[in-house]
Amino acid sequence: MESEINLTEDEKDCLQELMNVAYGSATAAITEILDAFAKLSIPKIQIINSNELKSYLSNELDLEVEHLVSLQQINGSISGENMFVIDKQSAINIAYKFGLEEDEIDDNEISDIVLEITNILSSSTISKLAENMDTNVSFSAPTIKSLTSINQLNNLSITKYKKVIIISTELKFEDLNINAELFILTTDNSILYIKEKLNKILDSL
Amino acid sequence: MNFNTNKFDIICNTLDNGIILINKNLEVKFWNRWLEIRTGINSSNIIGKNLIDFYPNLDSKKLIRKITTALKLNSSTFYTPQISKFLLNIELGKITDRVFDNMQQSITITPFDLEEELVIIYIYDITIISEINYQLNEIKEEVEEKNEKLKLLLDTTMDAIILFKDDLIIDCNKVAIELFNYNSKDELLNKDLKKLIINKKILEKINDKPIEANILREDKSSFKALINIKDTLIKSQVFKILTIVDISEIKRKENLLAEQSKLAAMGEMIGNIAHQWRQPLNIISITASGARIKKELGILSDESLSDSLKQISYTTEHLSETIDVFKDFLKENKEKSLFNLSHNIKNNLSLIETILKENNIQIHLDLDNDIYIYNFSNEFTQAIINILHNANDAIKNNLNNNDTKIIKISTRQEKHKAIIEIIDNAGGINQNIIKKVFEPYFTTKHKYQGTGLGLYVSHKIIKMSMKGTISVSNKKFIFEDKAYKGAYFKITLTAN
Amino acid sequence: MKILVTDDSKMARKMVIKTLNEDIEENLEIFEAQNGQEALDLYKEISPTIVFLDLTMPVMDGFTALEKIKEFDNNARVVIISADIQKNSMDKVLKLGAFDFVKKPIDSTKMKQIFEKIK
Repeated sequence: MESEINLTEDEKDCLQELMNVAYGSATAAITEILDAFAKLSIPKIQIINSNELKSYLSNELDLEVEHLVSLQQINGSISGENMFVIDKQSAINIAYKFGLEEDEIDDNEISDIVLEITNILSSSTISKLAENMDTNVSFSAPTIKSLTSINQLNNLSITKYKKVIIISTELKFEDLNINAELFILTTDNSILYIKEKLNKILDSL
Repeated sequence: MNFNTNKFDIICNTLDNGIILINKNLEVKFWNRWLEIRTGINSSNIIGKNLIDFYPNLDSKKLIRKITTALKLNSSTFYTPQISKFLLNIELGKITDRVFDNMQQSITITPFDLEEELVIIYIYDITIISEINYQLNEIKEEVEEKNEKLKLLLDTTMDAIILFKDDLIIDCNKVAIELFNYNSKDELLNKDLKKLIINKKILEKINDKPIEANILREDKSSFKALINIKDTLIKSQVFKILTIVDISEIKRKENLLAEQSKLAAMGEMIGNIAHQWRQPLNIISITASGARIKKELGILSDESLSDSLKQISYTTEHLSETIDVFKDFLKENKEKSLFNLSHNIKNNLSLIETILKENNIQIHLDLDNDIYIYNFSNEFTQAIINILHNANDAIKNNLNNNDTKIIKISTRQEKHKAIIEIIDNAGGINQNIIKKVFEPYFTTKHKYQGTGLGLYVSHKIIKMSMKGTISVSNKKFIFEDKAYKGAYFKITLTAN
Repeated sequence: MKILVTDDSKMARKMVIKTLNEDIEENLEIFEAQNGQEALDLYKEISPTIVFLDLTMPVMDGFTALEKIKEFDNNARVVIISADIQKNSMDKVLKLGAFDFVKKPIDSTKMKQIFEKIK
């Protein structure tokens, strides 16, 4: 079973295309909602072993400064989690962008905004992807944590899954100093489901 | 959009959640029964009106933003309970056990009609869950605080403490990690008890009293320690607690102490030798000079010469004997031997007789000449000499030149025990320190006499090496019809 | 009719080609390029009727390729097909002389529309 939880070159290419399109819509959505020019970098797709997830993330994220992490569950045939990571200062900058005044900005407000962005990103990227794959997903309300060490992400002990797809992208705003990353994590069954769908699409071409 | 269908009305009004149909401008289009009951606002009163009119404190900016987002995305947005405690301020009717004054709510905003810009706000009452969460948090904080305190306690103690379950290490304090030369707790966790304490005999010996043992580390270094193991029951599971105190420092000091005391004893001995020899050397010198002068004067008779030479010979022999006794004393006694108690004591006296004579100390002996002891003779000598030195110093300090100065030594045998008693008349040892005289002075900060080590060494020799007993007390005694008081030492050894 | 389809993703190219084959009745000769540079070189060689061009590509991106192709042939018909559909980008390519700007994935209606425009 394990050898099947992998994407072939063609499947990867196809998924990459679908993600590109999805992220394109997401970028537009953000730009419209936030009224600021956003840029989502081209999504990087990787499949790694689930026991490597923690070390992968601790390499990717520079946790020297305080970060906020929000996690949102994805339900449906594509199931998994969205993980949005942003450093505190960037989050504050986004708060300004949302039209908040300096004295209105406190930890609660910032968290709320990060949660909103997570929601926006999930809805636009994954919904789009699901749409292109001809399937439906729904999202649970996102939760938020303050992160100073990778060990705080306790729910990363996903040892019951063998593999994880990581679709990662960077969110940058043109006129602001905002840096954030979005990780979409899906697991074994979803990967197989995605494979199936991708192959359907490939066959039709 | 006809939403007055009976079926949906029934569902909406029996659902255990709040349902508001509202537009981007916060005008309410539908207000379900759940809300009517809980807010006391009738549906007919609020429909068509603005939500803000009824809830002026509501953050309208935020709500409008969320509604707009939901519509633009055509997807749900949320108010996260972690951040926002409630949207509508609904007071709780609970009287007992209150944590919150208002209903805690989870809110979902779902797009309903994109063209008409309508959304549905779902309100979920999560007060109970929030309360449980709150209480759990409180308990968690309490536990964390207790944990911190415990950790502090365990890490400040000097003992290494290691906890075992099924003979595997499950926890330990900082001292344990450092003591075994490891870098982190992880290196110790899950190690087997038998791998940590390699010497099985140690494990067998420990029974509730701590024992001294040599512990071997993984890196082949070792240290002397005081070690104890206790079994304990936690929730009907057996755990072992191992405590280790590193006494290598103490041992080192002890050895140093022993060496120092030996050197001190030697120093004193050399002083004694010098003392002892002065007189005999004097005699030899005078005798030789005398004979020479007589010769020069022509009055040296054969007899006179013979006497002088005899005297010199005799004195030289005496000197030689002294050297032998001293040499024996300085030799380390590795073997036990059978020796005569009286003989030994008399030899001891000869070693320090000059000093005693100088101070005019009378020695009174009451010795049983038939007592034999199988033990370390030189060590015994050292022990007795130290006691005698002490008596000498005490007399020197406490008595005047004209006073009678006495040291009484007596020996007797009771069944299998040889009893040696030494008493002086220097007035006795101060009550404050008499209990401590066998301790080395630098631990008790008292300097009884001399280097403060003499009695400590005597005690160590009698008790540890010779396996006998020694005690001290202040005692009165009668000598030549007079009453005196002084320090009384009683030594008990096994006799042959 | 010669058509040039440019995208660094094989999948993306295939999707465009599929739509072309399904919805366009004309006889089409389809050429593929993987990046802006290849597109430019091929354009110079075969002078296609329409160029379909992606924006994000390695070696030479869509914006640059568009500019260069227009430089070479002012009448070139370049249709930008991209996932990046921000107004910003749209304005930029239209300014550079793009024939049209289409959001990925291109559907039959839009495809037909484009061919209508050519006639």
